Amino acid sequence: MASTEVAEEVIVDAKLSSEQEDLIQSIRGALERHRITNPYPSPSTIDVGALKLLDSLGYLDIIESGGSPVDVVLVIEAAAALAPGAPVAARALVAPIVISSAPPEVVALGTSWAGSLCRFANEAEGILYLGNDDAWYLRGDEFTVESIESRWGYPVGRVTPRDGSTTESVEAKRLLTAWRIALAAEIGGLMEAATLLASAYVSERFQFGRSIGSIQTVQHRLARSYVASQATKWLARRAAWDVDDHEAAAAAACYATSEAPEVLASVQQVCGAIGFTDEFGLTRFTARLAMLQTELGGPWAHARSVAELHWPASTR
Amino acid sequence: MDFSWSDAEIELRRKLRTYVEENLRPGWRSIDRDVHNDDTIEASLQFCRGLAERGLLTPAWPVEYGGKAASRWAQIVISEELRGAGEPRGPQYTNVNWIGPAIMKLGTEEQKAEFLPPIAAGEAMWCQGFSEPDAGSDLSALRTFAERDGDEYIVNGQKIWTSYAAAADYCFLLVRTARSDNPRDGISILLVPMDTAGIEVREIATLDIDHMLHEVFFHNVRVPVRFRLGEENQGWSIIRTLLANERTQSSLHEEVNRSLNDLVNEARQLGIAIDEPQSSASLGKAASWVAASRVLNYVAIQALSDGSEHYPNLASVYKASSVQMAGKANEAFLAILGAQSLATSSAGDYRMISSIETGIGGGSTEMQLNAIAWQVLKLPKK
Repeated sequence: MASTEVAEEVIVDAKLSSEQEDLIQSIRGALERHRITNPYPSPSTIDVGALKLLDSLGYLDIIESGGSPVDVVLVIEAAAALAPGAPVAARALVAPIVISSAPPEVVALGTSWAGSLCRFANEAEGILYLGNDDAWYLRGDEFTVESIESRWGYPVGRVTPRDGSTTESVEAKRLLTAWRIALAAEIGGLMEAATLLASAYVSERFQFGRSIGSIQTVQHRLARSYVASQATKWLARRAAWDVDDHEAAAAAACYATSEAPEVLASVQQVCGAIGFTDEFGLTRFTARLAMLQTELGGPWAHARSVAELHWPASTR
Repeated sequence: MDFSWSDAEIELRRKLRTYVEENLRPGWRSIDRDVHNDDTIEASLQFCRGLAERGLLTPAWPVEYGGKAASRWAQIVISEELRGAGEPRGPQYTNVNWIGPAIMKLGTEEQKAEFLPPIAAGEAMWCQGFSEPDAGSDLSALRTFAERDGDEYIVNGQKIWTSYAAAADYCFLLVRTARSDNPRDGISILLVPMDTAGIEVREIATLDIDHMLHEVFFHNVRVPVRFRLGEENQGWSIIRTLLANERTQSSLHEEVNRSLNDLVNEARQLGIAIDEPQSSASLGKAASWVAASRVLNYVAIQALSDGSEHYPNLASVYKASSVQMAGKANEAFLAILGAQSLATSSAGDYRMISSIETGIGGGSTEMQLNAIAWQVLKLPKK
């Protein structure tokens, strides 16, 4: 019987390139140096300083400069850990994918959906705005913002497009997918940073004559959080590798927003009361996880999208 | 980073699907992977012989051992396609993915000549003699002892929870060949024909599934020293790598992925709407966990291919994620089909089994989490 030819050419390469590893180190180094003289701003305020730093170093214009969406996802992950108050994802990833003009420094992402809040709406010079079936790019004079107080990591507001204003239509599906990738990347970075901070703490916290990090219940909660962070990061990277793969982006957002509250609960629990304090820093990550889990309708909305994309109505 | 399949890999996938369509025994289900009876044993052997004849069983093996020196990704394509089809290779997926490669790497020329050709021809079934009544997750506590007697070892002891033992031709057996204060010292690997005198296999009744699990007793079993794989007393490090390979190369994500299609089809036949919010959300969540598990699998496989030191930890991360995936899929079956998913004829029946088994077989979830906590997060052991 004739033998079948098999694959000889190898294409799959499921790892970061050395250049991408260097990119991560570069951005982390820049932000760590920035933090020495620029402490984290107050909770729920925009980190303009970090955003300007990243802008000055070209990290917000990677796509415009010919870089890949995966490269930008790496920037978002790193920024989530070291500059979580900087609105990097909308500016560096979503806007370049969705609009053709040069985006302003602060871009926000909003929806017309009931109950949704828009992060950085007050500070935004442009908002990518998603309706039920359509989407628009709202410039600064084309929307109003009602500020909403929230302690959960970001300045937020309710956005209303101005009646009769001239707005630029954008492709809704493309906006939704790019947003989901950005969301997953940001959540992945926050999850990992929170897990590593909590791991360092429990290793040094002694109770009952031993490090609480040696207790298996504690270890397993953090190990599960780490698994969630890695899955989220790789789902976001995989989705960014093909920004036309809408299901991959929906799956990334579904997983990320589903696991965000699990990671939040675990890292806060193992750190105990210190975990609530501003000085410890854990809430820099967890408060934002709390807000991000709701974005774009939260896990159930993303999950339903995955199902609709994977099993279209015509095939059911 | 690139997640594209090459044209050759796409073509390989197509040929495998054609082969499955034409050669899979009608009615083969994932549960049949355990080869419960003569029918499933023969069907599995016949399927594998055909794969071997077409060069589709061991393409990633070196040419000298019956392969085609293809990439590891070709072997992953095969794992995905066949696991997705219910793993009609039966236990032989273990042979080609890690037992054969272990013999290639560590075996003597005589061992290679003895054991590799039957594997490459699709004619040998292996089982793994690892767990014992007092050595489960704590595998290094194993006590089955192989005492040297000239050119032979005399093996006495008991293995348990052994899959495929009733059908197996050979056992990849962990034994203790020396007693030591460090339980990880003094472990050796023996390649044992299952028809050797003194081996007794007993089935363990399990969820009304025939021959899913077994006990294997060794009563003064004489095994030639030449069937020892690797150095005497140095088996532990080999096993750690082998177990990591077991965790990453079975492509469970594809089995779960396709079972969700079965779920949709079954729901349609029963007139159950899957676009109802709870149903579609549970389906979408399960599919998202499949995507997560798949990408983590590829990351781990890449590390294995590259010889990365991070591979064992990445294998643990993958395994932990795959356990959650199995649970999410089971939840979807139960949410959509209800009790119907527990009917023996339902695709959900095996999902329920898998949701329980996945967290135990091939190294428990807790062992994976321990490894991540200690090796990655550097949490203290004491």
